[in-house]
Amino acid sequence: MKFWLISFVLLTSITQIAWAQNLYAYSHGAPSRVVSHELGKDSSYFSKIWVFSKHKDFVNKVGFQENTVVLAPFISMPENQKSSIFLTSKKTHLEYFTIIIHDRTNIAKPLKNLRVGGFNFMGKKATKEFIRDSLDLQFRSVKLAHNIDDLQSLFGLGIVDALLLNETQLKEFKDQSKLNLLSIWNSKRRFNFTYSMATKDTFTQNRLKKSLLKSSIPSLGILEWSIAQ
Amino acid sequence: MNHLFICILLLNAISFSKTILVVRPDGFEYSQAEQGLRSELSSYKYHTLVSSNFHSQKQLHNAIDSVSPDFIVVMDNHNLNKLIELSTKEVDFSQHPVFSILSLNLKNEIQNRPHFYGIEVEVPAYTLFTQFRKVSQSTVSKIGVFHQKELSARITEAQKALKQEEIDLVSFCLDCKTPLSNRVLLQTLKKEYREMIFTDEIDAIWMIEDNLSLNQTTLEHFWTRTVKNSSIPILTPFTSYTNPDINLGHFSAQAKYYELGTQVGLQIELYTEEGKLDTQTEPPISVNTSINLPKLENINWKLKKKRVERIKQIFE
Repeated sequence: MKFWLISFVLLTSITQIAWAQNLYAYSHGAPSRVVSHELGKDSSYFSKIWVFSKHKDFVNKVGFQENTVVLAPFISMPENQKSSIFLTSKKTHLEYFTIIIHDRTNIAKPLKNLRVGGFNFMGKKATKEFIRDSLDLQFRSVKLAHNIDDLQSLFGLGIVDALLLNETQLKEFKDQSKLNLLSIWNSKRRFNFTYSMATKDTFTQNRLKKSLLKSSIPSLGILEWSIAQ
Repeated sequence: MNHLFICILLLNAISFSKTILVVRPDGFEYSQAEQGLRSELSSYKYHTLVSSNFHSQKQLHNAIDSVSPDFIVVMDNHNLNKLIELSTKEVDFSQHPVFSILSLNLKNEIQNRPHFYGIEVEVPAYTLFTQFRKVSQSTVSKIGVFHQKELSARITEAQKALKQEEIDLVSFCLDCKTPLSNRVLLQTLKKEYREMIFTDEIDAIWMIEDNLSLNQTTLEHFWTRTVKNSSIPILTPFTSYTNPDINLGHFSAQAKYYELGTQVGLQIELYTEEGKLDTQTEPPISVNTSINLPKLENINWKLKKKRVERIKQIFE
């Protein structure tokens, strides 16, 4: 009986600690580490850039040009929006990733309904968590593919609305597809965030870390790991 | 006391795992698909109803009653049709949503039938032609297709998807104006084929799964005579057609059975999370391709050698 009671208490405590850590990370994870940005230089490419962030601070610190930025914290995209879209967040390690949204009609969908596709590079569950967390957005669903051909089909056939790719994958994708990638945002190492997996338990975190370090994608190997500060 | 705890835990574990009833015929492709499903949804409990013959409506009804599954995964058209019949009579499928794989023309079969979903088996033109373009040095920018009226919606979808890749799909509907006899059908096919080659200047032809443009008569007198010796590649959904024994197609793409199972598993997962799906069906994503090299060499089709090496089945 004692054993069960102790187990129960321990289990509850662990859950609460993890929950508290997550909460802490979310509430304190504002981007204090933003050191530079050059977004303004690229803004001519877009008619308007949308920044999605829970933290107003983030946008202020990054200092986007006023005329090019609309702060829209997790709201629905308006209909007939002609602009391109840029997604980011406090926890995004965008320097390694590019988000592509190719169909303007899909952009008009509420963001939470966006379906994202990506590579299954470290097991399904871990990859899904990685995608969700690296974007810090409540996507509708994440579909994973094992190769670039399948990813092209997912995207071209409209099963997903956006893709999350690193630079190598993006290059391969562009080499073999003529899809009109209307809204490409490639962050090109403009943000210097400590990558955080604050929402994950230690086990997943370590597993991910190991997977990433072994990953064939070189740029992923140098990610730093820590709970958001 | 300890025993009581263990019992409670066990009961909890049992009650949380959902149950899937798999209804399928015997055969390699079906068992592969089931394996894919089981690997994707490994925490589910499974009851499989396999038969070398067809399942009767009564058998299916009894199985649903006794298993009371959270989901039913059904394979092949016969079994699917039996479930559709049951849905109009005795069974409330809102309690057991049906997910179908390896059934032809699934989109039309389950259209407007609530609680029926699935993964189509037909490979989309988008996938077929982008895969072919990846191995081709020669240009693939315009393709032709003959089809019957029933497939018009699929053709329109294909045109839209291919347009994104700067590929034009020139289509000819064979029976949109009037039904055709076999004799007139053959004449029409031959005339329109010449038109596509010389006027539209198509780079390849898509042999679609269509029982009008692809029946015994047209196979014998059109595809294996007129088209077979033409100078453009024929792309087919049937791997067997690229086999030199038949030697009809140059390139083919066919859905992977195992992956059909995993894909339907993902569909079930999403349904579980959201209680609904945006679309009843999805096209298959993963395909096996095969290529008939001598036949492509005969028409001087230029290929990317490194890319060709990646193809699953190469006939040399």
